[in-house]
Amino acid sequence: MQCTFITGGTGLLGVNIVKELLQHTSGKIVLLMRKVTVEKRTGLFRDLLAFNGDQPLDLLSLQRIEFVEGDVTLPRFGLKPTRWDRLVKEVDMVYHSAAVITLSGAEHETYSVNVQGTKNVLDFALACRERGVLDRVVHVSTVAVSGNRQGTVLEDELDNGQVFNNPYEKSKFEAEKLVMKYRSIGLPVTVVRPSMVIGSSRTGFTNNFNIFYFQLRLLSQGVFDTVPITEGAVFNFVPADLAARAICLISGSRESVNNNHHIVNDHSIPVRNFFEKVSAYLGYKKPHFVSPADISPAALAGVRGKILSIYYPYVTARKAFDSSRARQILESRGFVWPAMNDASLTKMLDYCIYSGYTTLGSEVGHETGAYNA
Amino acid sequence: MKEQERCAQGGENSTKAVTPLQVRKMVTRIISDITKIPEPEITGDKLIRDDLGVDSMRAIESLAVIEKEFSIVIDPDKAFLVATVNDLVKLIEDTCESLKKGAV
Repeated sequence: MQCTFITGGTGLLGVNIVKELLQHTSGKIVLLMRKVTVEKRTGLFRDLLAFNGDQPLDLLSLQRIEFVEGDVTLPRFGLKPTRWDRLVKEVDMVYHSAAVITLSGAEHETYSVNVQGTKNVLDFALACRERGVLDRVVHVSTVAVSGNRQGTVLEDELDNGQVFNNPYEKSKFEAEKLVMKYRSIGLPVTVVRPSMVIGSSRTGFTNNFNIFYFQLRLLSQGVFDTVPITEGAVFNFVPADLAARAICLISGSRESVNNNHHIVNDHSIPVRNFFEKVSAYLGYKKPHFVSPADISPAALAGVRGKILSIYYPYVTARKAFDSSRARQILESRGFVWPAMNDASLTKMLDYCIYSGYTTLGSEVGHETGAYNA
Repeated sequence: MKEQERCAQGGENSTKAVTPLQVRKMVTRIISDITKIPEPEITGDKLIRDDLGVDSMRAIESLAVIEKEFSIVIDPDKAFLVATVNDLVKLIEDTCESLKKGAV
């Protein structure tokens, strides 16, 4: 019997991976969660239904989920030996998507989950491989392992002497180095590197207002009044449901074993267009764009400067992610990234308003035509 | 924003200094606006993270808005040491005070 073990299963991407597995596989799904409470389980089921795609979710399939209380940062996840032994014998597939994704998180906390957590998951997988029936590990990484690199980044590349912009990027890079080490001793690992994960492509729903959404709050508060951008800099967004589908299709293919795959949208959005469109649609004052060379030292001071410095590398980098290998697998399975057009973005923004995450600005009302122009 | 709510800027264009009570009122209002927590619940002894449930993103946003509204620059290292609403009010008062001294 198939048994898939998932870390980070309640996160934005994780819950969509669970949904894909419920819809397209028939085996057991084991979710590792730090605390298993009624509230957490209810929250997961609510999110699964909210993220539901074109294919209805069979509620009975939820019974295939087993919740296991444990912590990725602890050796053997802090599990009792009997439970560890049972899982080691049962699990044939591991999806590791647990991660601290905040760019401004405390370094020790980020490393604890992203690096030590990955090592613990790989140790678990190795035990499954040696004593059980493990077929594959899918390690969810990020395109951000490329750090400050510019130009085109290839899927096979990892260490090009890049410098990292924050502890998150470095921790995910270190985690991939660990993956390479475990691959060399015989553990089959598929690496997937998504770009910026956003809400559902159908409804805009999200269960996590991450760094993408935080920009909207900053715009609404007028905190982002000056934004340094480089012409040619783009944002690449992947809706969580489509990213999860792509990841599951890739991880189900033989050719993905021991390879890396960029989970990136074929359609990027120029940074300037993004800010202009969001401001116009939500009625916020359009930020003043400046060249990075013209940014004043005062703009980089204080808390606002700290925020700007977090976003700075992403609004000024000229880079693209080659996804030839991922695309080859996805196209052979009939998956094509839908165009990331205005309507796709509008769904995300509408959900932010609907959920109360952000409110319309005072300049709304004369924006519709401008946004769709 | 009312002129008297701004932190004193110093120099020829200095505005009237903000009083401690006004700082507290503004801080309470900003936290309430951002978190949707009713103002009466935002008392000085409350722990911003544990009692008011303000996560790190909201805390950063609050500080950024405070900077903008008071026309001040808060030292991020000092901001990370803030635990209670009283701590935050004190940080703003101290920042305003040093700004005034620096401007003389």
